Amino acid sequence: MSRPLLCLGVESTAHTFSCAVLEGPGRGGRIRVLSDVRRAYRPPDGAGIHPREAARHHAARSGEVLSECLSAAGVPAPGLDAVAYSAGPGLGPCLRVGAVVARAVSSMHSVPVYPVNHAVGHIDLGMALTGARDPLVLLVSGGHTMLLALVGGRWRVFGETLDITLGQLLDQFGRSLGFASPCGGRIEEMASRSSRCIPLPYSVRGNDVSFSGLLSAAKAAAAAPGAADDACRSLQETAFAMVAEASERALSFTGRGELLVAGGVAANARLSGMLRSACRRHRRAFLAVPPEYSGDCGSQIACTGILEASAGKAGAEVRDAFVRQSWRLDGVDVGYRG
Amino acid sequence: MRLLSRGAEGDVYESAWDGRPAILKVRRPKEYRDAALDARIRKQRTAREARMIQRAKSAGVPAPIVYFVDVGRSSIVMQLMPGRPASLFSGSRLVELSGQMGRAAGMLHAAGIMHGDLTTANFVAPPGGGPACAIDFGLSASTGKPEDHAVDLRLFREVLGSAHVEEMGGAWDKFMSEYASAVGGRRAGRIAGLVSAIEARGRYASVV
Repeated sequence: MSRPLLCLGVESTAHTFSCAVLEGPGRGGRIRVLSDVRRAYRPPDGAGIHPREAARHHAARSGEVLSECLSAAGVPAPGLDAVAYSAGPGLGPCLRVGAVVARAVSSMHSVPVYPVNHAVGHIDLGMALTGARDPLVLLVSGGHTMLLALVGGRWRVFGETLDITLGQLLDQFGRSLGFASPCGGRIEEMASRSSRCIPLPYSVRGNDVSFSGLLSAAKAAAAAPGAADDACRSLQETAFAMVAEASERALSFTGRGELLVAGGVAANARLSGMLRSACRRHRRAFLAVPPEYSGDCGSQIACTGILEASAGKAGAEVRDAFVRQSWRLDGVDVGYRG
Repeated sequence: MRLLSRGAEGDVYESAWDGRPAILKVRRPKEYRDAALDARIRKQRTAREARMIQRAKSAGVPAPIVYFVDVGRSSIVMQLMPGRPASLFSGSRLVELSGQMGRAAGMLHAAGIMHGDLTTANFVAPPGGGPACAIDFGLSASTGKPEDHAVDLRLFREVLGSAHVEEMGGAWDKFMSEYASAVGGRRAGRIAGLVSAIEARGRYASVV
């Protein structure tokens, strides 16, 4: 095999601007993270991401993040073999900042540029870090709530949310209580102070879930005086049990031997506890992306870049290296997975 | 008792009822779920499954006979339907089965029943041919709303597009033509339109 590649990954889908350098594939396909530098835009308490403000934040920090990342990795820009950027799905103004950085590095140092699907990046990095072989993937984040398995060179959707995502459910509920986004951590903390479970709408349809009715009911429950802790716990218990049940159904249906959970909400201990319990019941392996790499980061983008480049895929022309705000993961050809 | 399958919904055992071969389906507590929430869901689904299977049978949809229900223990004894799940078939046999599943879905909907888990794994194909039998009514609902019926069809389409990619086109066409023969062409066209509308609402389904 030829020597491992060095790939710069640029992530700027939503609140996080991040650059990372990864090296691989080494012996046995191993991929190593050499550096991963991140800066997150923080919206005011009780408010969501303002795309323009987030993009301004990313643009202002992009230079320092890039140079910090390259020096931490000990790799000068001309030494890179590839530069990958997250081309979508995400917020247009934010995505464009990352694409500009990637095109600049590519054209200045004649490095091939790879547009990467952000969600595929979550899965690729998760598989690289956990050693998953042919998993059912549960992708849970602000942008996704999907159950996927690889069939015929594509990630096929075996279940998903019919309306909002799990991340949006947590954030929109949390913001209604005046929390700062992302709200998952604060909700988890408040939930730990309660032991009640208020009946809330539980909506599982086959392997699909629906959260919008749950969100309205949870907001209403939290409005009663002194009920915030109970509402947080009830929301978590209901929503996570729905996701765990849908995962269990999809595991039965697909017969996959491993469940890999990836995406920002994978960091939640209660959710991963439930999923681990569901896997135990069905004697399947439970794999979770380490918390420091479950959220948005440059590593996920660089990881997919390495897989594409090492499989012999040519980089994009700089003039074609644009962004796609809506880019469904089941439309991506992942031929490098054989 | 011999365990036949451990599904996501419940454990299924080989059993007998009045000398006839039967299955015992038990919804066991899920330890990851809050105990109160878990008990509520198991009771509700057991009662609902028993009730809706009866209604499906009255509507002429092939489904097992319910022999005995114990909501407190969330268990049901019902007729054993011999055969294998339709999800295990492929090629022209799956396309043929899709037609039968479409017809069954249409008859359910015409009777105001939404299956709630309309997948190829929830139809049993008898060994010697004959119509596929609908099972697993735990997520079903009594509704005549076109949007709810469209959710059933969308799920079936999602399953074809993921688990049965090769047969997707032919199987869906067959499913829809048989569905239309049960509910009528105009109604089927309207529901199909709603399926597309739900898909378009999906995450990142179309360019903003």
